[in-house]
Amino acid sequence: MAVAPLVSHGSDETAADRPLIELVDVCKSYRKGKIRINVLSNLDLTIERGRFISLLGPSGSGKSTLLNLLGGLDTADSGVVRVAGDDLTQLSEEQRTTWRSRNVGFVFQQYHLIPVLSAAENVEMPLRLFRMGRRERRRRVALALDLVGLADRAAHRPGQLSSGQEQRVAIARAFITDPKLILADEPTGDLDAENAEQITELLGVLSREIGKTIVMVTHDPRAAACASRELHLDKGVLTTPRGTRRPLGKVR
Amino acid sequence: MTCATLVLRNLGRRPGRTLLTLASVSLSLFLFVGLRAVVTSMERVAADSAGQLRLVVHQKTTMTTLLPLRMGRQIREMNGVRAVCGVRWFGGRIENSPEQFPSLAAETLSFPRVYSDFDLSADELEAWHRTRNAAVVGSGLARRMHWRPGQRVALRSTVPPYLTLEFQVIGVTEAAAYPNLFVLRLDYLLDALHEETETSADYDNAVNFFWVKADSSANLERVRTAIDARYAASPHATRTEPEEAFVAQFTKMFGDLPTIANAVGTIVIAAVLLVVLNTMSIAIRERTGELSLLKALGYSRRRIFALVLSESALLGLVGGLIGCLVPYLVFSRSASAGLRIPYFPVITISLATAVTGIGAGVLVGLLSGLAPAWRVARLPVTTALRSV
Repeated sequence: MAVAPLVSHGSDETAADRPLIELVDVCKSYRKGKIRINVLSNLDLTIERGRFISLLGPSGSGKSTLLNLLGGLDTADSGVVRVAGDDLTQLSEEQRTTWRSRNVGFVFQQYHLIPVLSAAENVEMPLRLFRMGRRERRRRVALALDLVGLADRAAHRPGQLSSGQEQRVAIARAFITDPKLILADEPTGDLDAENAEQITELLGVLSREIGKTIVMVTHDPRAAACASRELHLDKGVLTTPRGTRRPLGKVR
Repeated sequence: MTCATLVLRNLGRRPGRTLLTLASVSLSLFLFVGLRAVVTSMERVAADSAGQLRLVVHQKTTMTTLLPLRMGRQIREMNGVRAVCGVRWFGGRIENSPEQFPSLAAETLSFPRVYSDFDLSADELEAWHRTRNAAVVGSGLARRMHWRPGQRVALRSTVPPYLTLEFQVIGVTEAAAYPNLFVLRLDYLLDALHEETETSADYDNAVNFFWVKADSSANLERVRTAIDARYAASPHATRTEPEEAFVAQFTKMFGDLPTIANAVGTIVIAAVLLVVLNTMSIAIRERTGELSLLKALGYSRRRIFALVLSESALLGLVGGLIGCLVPYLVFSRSASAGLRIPYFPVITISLATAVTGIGAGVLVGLLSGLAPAWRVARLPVTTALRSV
C-alpha cells in the first residue's frame, strides 16, 4: 500500500541517511512546589528512519515526557534533542510549532477529534496550515480515509463513529501531512482487543509500507509486540526488554 | 472546510447559550442605538435650527407670560431683521385620542417667510393665505392620523379657555425638523378667543413667542442683544436666544438627556461586554483540550488567538446586526417612522448611529474575547492535553 508524499517538506531530504531521532545526554525535570523531580536523566537515544518503536514502562516513568520532547511539545533542560535534522532545543516556541506541523503526527489515547467537524474535516485540519488548494486537500483527505478504511464515513461526525473508527480518523489526521515521525500515546488504551489489534496493525502498515517512523507508548504487551523494537523506560532510564539497565544504543 | 466554518460550528455547539447571548447583545445594542438616536436626533434639530438664522423672543422670566403683538412690529423695524412671526401656544388635542403633538398658532403673513424651511408649495401657500382655518401639519403626524390636504380636523385646546376649533389641512410638510408639528393661523385663534370670551384686548392680541429671522449670521448676535436692550426697562422685558439654544433648553426641561443617554449607553455596553466575556470564558474553558490539540498539530498562538477572537467578534457582529440594523431598517424609512416622544423631535436611527452600534457590538466581541483568547493561546500544550 503506497501513498505518494502528501506534502513536500524539503528541509531534511539531504540528511536522509542520518538517524531520524538523536537524543544526547538529555535531562528533564519538573518543579512541584519546592521539590524538583528529575524525570529523564542523561538520556541517550538514537532511532533510525522507518522504525516502529514501542515504549513501555510504569506510570510516572517519563514516557509521556519523552514523547513531549520528541514531538517538540516541551523542551529539555539540557542535552540535544535532534529530530528530523533539527535540534529542537535551539528552536523558539513559534519555530517548534511550525516544525511540528511539518514533521510530526500525533495519535492520542482520547483521539482528540473535534466533535463539530466531520471525519474528513478533522483529517483536513493539519492541511490547512499548508498552501494547498481545496481540491488537492479533498483528494488527500479521501486518500487518507480510504487508507484507514473509512472512506464511507467521511461525512460522519466523531459522535457517529465507534471508538475504533475515531482512532482510525485520528491516525489519518496524523499522517495526512506526510510527517516523518508519528507519535502515538497509548493509541489502543481505550479500545477493545479487536479494535486495538486493528489500530496496531494500521500503525505497522504505516511503518512497513509507507516508511513512517513511529514511537508508540503502550501498556499493552500485545500491541508492543507488533513493533519492530521495544524500549522500556523506568525512572528516566531506558532499558532493553530483558531488563538490563544500561543506556540504549542505536535502535535499528 | 474553512476556519470560518469551524468558528460557525463552534458557535452552534450550544445553540441555547449562543442564542441567549445573542439576545442579550442584540437587546443591549438596541438600547444603545436607541439612546444614541435620542442624542443625535436632538443634535440634528439643533444643527438644523442653527442654519435658519432664527432667534426666539419670549418673556424674560417665563415662556407662559404673553407678549403683546405690537412688539413684533417694533422688532421688525430693527436693523438686521428680515421677518418676525408671532407664535401662540394652542396645545390642541383630538377629543378622546391619546395622541399628543405640539400645535402652534403663527402669524399668517410672516410664517412662510420665517419658516421657509417648511418648503410649502405655491398652491399650499395660496391656500394658507386664503383659508382662515388653514392648518399645516408635519408628515409624521399626517401619516399617523391619516390626514390629507382638504381634510377637516377638530382640536380642543388644553389651555384656557379650552376652545374647540375646526381646521382644514391645506398642506403637509416633509421637513424633517417638524414631523409632529401642527401649525394654525394666529388670526383665526385670536378671533375665536375674542368671540368666545370677554377677555381683555391684551390677552387676545398677545403671543408666547416671536420668532425673528435675521438677515445674516453676522447680525444674529447684534439683533439678539438689541431686542433685549430695547425691552429691558419695559413691563415686557424679554429674553432673546438663538433657536438652537431655545430648543436645547426646551428639551432639557426633561433632564440633561444627552448626558443621561450617553451614561446609560456606556453602562449598557459595559454590561453586555461582561455577558459575552462570561460566555466566551465558559466556551473556551470547555474547549481548552481541542484548542491545545490544534497547537499540537502546528497551529500557532496567533492562529489560535485569531480563532477565538473571531468567534467572539462574530457574536458581537451578529448581535449588532440584529440589534442595530433591523431597527435602522424599520425606523429609517421616513421621518414619520421613528420613535415618538411627545413634544420631541422624532427619534430616528440614522445609518451612522446603526453603524456605530454595530461597531460597538464588534468591539464588545473583540474585547470580551481578548482574555480567553490570550489565556488559551499562552497555555502550554502539554498542560492542556495532559499527555501526548
